[in-house]
Amino acid sequence: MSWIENRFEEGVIVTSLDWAINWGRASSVWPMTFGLACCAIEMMAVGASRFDIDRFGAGAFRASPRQSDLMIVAGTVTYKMASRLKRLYNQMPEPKYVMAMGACTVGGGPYFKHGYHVVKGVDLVVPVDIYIPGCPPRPEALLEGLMRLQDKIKHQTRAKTPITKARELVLN
Amino acid sequence: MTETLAQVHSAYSQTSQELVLGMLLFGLAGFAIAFVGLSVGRIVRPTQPHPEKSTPYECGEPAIGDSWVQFDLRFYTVALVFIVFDVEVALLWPWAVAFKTMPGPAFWAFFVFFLLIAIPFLYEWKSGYLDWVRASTGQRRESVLEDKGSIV
Repeated sequence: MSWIENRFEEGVIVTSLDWAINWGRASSVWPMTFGLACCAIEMMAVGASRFDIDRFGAGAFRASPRQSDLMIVAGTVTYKMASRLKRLYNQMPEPKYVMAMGACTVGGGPYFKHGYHVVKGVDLVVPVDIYIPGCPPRPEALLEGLMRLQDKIKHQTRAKTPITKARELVLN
Repeated sequence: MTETLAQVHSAYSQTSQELVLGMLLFGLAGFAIAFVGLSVGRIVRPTQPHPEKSTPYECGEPAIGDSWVQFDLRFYTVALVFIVFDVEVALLWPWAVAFKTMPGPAFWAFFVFFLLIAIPFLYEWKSGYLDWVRASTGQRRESVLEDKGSIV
């Protein structure tokens, strides 16, 4: 939460700032390498030349949470890994986004019924922005997910939210 | 060519004034740019502090202990001796290759080098720096002997 956020109504300054910041954020989403299982193979394919996630400005896979904006949770999250995953998420600086890639991270997937060791969805551990279904999802699906994330980033605003406006209307 | 001293002086003082003004402007502009950048960043950037964000160890695993541990000083001499002999072995290798072509000079050259290392090594050995328990026992033994001498 920045100082300017939720403070002014949509004006030329706030919206211009929104445009500039969102453009910058959406065009350079740096993912963190977080391959946990077979989905990671698809993620690697997306990073390689055939699918080339770098076309979307998200090709700089970081091995450090301090330098990354996006955590692509690619693969089965076990309970043992979940605490580490949360710790890494907490170490990431703002703004940060999480992508749940594959059926396991979306909701347990094939381990939903008998997987005593699998977290039934990574959204139980960290807040998820984009869900990508599939087992594993095709590289195109991951690219689609990235594009939807970019759409989401581009629609962020620092202007006053309708809820705040309504609250002020009621209080005044 | 026919300028008086006063003219020269006035011209000089004018330029120095301009120089000071220019430097002042330069400094102010530099300060303003940095100030504007930092203050805009302060207004716009998201701030959500978290204790995990300021930890020096970037890992999913919590760090075990910290790096401020006491380290035994006896490792210091051992490490120094190791480096000396490490370099010696590294130099012994090309020497062994060159030995075939010129046995005499190579032998004497390395003999001198070996002496230069062997004498300090013997000195160190004699001084007891290679004894691991020297620091605690050796000094005590000496002090005990001294005490006995004084008693007897």
